[in-house]
Amino acid sequence: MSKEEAAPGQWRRVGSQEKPKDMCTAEPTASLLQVEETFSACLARIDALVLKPLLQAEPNDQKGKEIFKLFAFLNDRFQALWNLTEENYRILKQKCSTSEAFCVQDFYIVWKGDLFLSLYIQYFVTFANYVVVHGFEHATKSKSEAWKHHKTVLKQFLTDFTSETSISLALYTVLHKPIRDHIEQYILLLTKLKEVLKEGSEKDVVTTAIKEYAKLESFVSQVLDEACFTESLWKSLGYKFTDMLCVPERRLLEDSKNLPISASTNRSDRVLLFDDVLVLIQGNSFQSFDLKLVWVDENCKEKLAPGLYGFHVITPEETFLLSTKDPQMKAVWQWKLNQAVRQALNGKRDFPLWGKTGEGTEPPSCRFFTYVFRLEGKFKSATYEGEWHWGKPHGKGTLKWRNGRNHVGDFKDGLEHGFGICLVPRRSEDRYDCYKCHWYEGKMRGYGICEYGNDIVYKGYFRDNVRQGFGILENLSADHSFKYTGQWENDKKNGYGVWEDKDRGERYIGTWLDDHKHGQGIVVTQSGVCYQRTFHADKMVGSGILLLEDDSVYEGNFTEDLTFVGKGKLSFANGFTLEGTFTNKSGQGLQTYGILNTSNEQLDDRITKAQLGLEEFPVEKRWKGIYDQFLEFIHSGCKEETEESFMGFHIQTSKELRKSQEYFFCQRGTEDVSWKTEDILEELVQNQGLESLQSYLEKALKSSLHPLGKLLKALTIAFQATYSGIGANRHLLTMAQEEVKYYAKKIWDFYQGLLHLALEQKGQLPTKCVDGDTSDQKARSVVLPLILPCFYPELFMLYMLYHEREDDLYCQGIVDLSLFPDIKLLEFLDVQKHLWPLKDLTLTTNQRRSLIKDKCFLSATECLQKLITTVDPREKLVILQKTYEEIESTVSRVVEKDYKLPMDDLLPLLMYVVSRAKIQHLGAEIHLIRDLMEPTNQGGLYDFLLTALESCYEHIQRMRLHQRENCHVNHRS
Amino acid sequence: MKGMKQTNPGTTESKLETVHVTSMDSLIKIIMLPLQTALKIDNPRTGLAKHKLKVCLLGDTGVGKSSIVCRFVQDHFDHNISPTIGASFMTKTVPCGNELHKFLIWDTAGQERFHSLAPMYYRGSAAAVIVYDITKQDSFHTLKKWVKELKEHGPENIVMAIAGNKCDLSDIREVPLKDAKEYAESIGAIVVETSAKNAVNIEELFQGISRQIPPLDPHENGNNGAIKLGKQTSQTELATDADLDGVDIVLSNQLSELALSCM
Repeated sequence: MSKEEAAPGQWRRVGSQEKPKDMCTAEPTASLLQVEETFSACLARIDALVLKPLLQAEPNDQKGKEIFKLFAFLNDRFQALWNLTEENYRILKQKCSTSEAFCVQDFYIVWKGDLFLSLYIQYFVTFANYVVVHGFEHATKSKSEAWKHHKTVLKQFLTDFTSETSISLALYTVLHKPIRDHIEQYILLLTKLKEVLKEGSEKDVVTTAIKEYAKLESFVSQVLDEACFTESLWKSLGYKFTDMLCVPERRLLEDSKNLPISASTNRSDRVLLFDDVLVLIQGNSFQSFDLKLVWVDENCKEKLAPGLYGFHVITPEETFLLSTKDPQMKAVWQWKLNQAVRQALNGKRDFPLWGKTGEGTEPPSCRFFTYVFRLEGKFKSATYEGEWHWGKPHGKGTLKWRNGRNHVGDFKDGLEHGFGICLVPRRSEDRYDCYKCHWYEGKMRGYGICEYGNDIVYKGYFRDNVRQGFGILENLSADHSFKYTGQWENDKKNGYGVWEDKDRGERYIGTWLDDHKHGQGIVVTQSGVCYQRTFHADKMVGSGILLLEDDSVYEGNFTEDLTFVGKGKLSFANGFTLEGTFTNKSGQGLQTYGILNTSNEQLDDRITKAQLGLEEFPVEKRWKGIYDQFLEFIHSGCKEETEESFMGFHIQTSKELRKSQEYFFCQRGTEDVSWKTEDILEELVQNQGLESLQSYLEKALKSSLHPLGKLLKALTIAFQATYSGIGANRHLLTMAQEEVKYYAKKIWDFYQGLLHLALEQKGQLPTKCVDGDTSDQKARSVVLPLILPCFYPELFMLYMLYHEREDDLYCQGIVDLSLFPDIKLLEFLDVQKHLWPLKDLTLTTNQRRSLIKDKCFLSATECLQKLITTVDPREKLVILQKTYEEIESTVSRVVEKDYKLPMDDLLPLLMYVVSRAKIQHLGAEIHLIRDLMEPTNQGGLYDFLLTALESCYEHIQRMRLHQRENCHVNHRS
Repeated sequence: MKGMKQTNPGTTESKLETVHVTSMDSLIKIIMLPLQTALKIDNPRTGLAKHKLKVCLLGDTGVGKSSIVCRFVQDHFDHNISPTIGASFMTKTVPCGNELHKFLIWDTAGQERFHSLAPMYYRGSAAAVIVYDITKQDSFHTLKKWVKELKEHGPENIVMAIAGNKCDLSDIREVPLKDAKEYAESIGAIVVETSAKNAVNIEELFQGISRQIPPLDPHENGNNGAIKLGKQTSQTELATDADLDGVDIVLSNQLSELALSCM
């Protein structure tokens, strides 16, 4: 490969060395020298007689000065061209005088072709600029002395060149014709050279050069044509237009006077296509459209009148029709317009300026450009910098309003659509509200985060630019910090929500109406007091129930600072009740007239453990806003691009978001780890089997990217907002417990929804559940264990608080029993002697068997202690079963045969194991298991074991109570 | 065992067609309709609804509560031994009419000191088996206490069955059968004298309970075994093959008889 390629190169080098004296090129070289000599002399004369004198005649008026500047520029170009020619000519001439040998390399116009071409192009473009502004006419009108003096000399010179009588025309001719002619000479010379050359690479190079010079020739003629065309336009137009439109570099490309076309009926009487703008003139006014933002749409939607041919011109704020009667003319205009747009977008003209009609590529429909909106509307005076598509912002872009408002993000069809960051200045302060959210057809919709300038942050859903659906509003500033987690409607708190007032140390859980507490509500306080009331526009009305920390309960009317007013009933924990009218005048303390009932009946558990909010806030009605989004996501077909707007951003840490704000573009670094929605759906289909389903769901629920994981995350936030911290109040246990179960149900439903969709998309029919489990059962058995860890700390805390008294009593009982040595305890609990594992009591010399503790049934005890290390109720039940098995195996070892324990034997043994395991919050554990275990266990083995455990727990409490009573009796006697 | 499983609905349907051809309409109406109900075609495997029944055992220590259950559970060709908690918790499934009864039998501790814990065990029970020792008058007294307690605090409509155990020792009897029968009649309970040792009347005891259990409401169990949780644990679920081992025979025999009579 490389060998073959190297060969021609070698040849070329060798060739150029071997054949330095190529006699055949001698003649063209000589002709070149001669031509250049003549040209150089000509240029020298032009320089001396035309340029130099004109340069001395600088006008004084502003316009003249500007034109003069162009002339000076033209002079520079002229000099550059002349110098190049001179220089090369001299070198060649020198070579000729020293040696007679020539080669193609000496033909500098070939080898330095690019340089020559560019200088010629520059010269003619500058020349044309000068022509366009009527430079020569201005020059000849110069009133300077030098010019007047010179005029006569010049006239003589000019007549040699041209028959033109007008000086300006003559000047025009003299400054372009010799140079243009010279290009022709070059082409002739090169053609001669080509003829004498043998076939080969040299000949090819020369051929290419000829082509380039030919192109230059046509370029020059097109440039001059355009210049004249433009110049005559400026002449024909009034000052009104030329003042605004006439720029030296601007060229007229097409004119409706020349090639008739009209813009949408009566819109304008003239259409001018320039190289940078499209201008519509009507009467004394005109409209110009930057070509970079002009799209030509051939497909006319509306029917054109018969015999009319046209196309649409689309610009950012206007669309109009250009039509003509001649299809040919329409084609030319369309082509010219498209080419002009393309060249404008390229930033430079083609070389030559025009190809053949109908040739050339169309301009791209996607562009990047800056535009200031003018028309009335939401974008008025705003500057858009970014991607465009058919006249509309589309893609990524930045929109800046005059008032400092600023939107960076995705656009679609001219509107904000997709993710965007929007800064809105606040009216009074020098601060901004920063919205980072999803937009839909110009309005905020879906998940977003708004950092208001006043340190308040909203994270949640929007619709039609207002807060709507689930959202969290948090005041992070030091004074009056609060947090609202709940439902929004029309930018206001509406529906079920939790409000935490951090200053007051209070949490309101209940319904809202237009930003006010309204309807049923529960208030829990830092001190553990909680009450349920009816609210009306933030005010408490009617009577309520106040549950005090010391287990006393007040039913009646009371104020926000918990003073009793009016009729009420106060029930003390000791069973006394006080019913009457309460007053609280300042300075006099609490006063009451009523009846104190001291019948001393212990308060019913139903009151001291009253559960709030169950009827008022049915679990199905809590956090609807969260579920709704997910449901909508599924209904909309789980489209990748909408996932984030429905399910929220997967990054929620403020640090990461700040980063996205700093870079001010929506790179949120999701690419590397993103779960594509289609992959998610595919995986769903593949993981339908029970085992893989479990591990799949586990993975999904843990992921912050999977929709189910996001859902769980949102639910966790809502749950914590309600039940953590101040919300840890035993009167909320049932609400919390129901809620967790409902979460499991909903997550299962949504999983089913996703699966259904995935199967549907694959064209498969979802199969009916064959194993006969209802979806509630599945939710319990599959989902609940997976999600429980997220809610366990708060939930278990509620169980602990709920069972606090029982657990305390039981713990005292355990402490009493812990004083017993093993044998004593076995005896105390009536364990039959033949079941005592005395063999396990190994003695050291100083011990007596009757004093040894914590040796019997050690394996069972240790097993039961593992209960607190687990979360899943099922696992806890398995531990319970294993504990039984340990007891059984110990007993079997003792009696030396398989022993099936009847309850008469088992209960005392279990009692023994429970008292030795010393689990602190056993009551909480038992009830958590009972509430959350699968309902199918009811009446079954696990239920039995749990009941057995519970009965031990109860019995230990009762033993303690008896002991206490006995103590009392003893004391009294 | 496999060969015995002729109870799938497909078979019966084809039989049904045969009957149609012979146009013995009246016969079909009489015989086939109950049969269809029995098969519960919505159940793909066995066609039988399973009725879970929690049964609690009450009675003094040493009267043989668990022996009765052990005998009941073991004295049968139940190849799939369902998990138990020693002799304290056992299960057994028996056919009863169109249903299967799965007994979940909860033992309780008979010691006097644990008496107060009993409500935790008998709550949600469909039936209680109260056992006394015919050789111990005291145990009969305790029985009466249990009956009283159940009447007052037990689940509504609980089926009570009185078992006078150790009838093999009738020579040292202290409680006459007549007393027990009279008492049982007065409270509307089933009564039998049993011998766990000699397997006397054990099956009968539980059959007696089965008969008193009201059948499932077809509307409530239609939803493939949705759990009905009321005060009593009387649940339905699909009978699994494991539950049915040993049961099928009886049923398939009944079926073939029916089918034959149709022909």
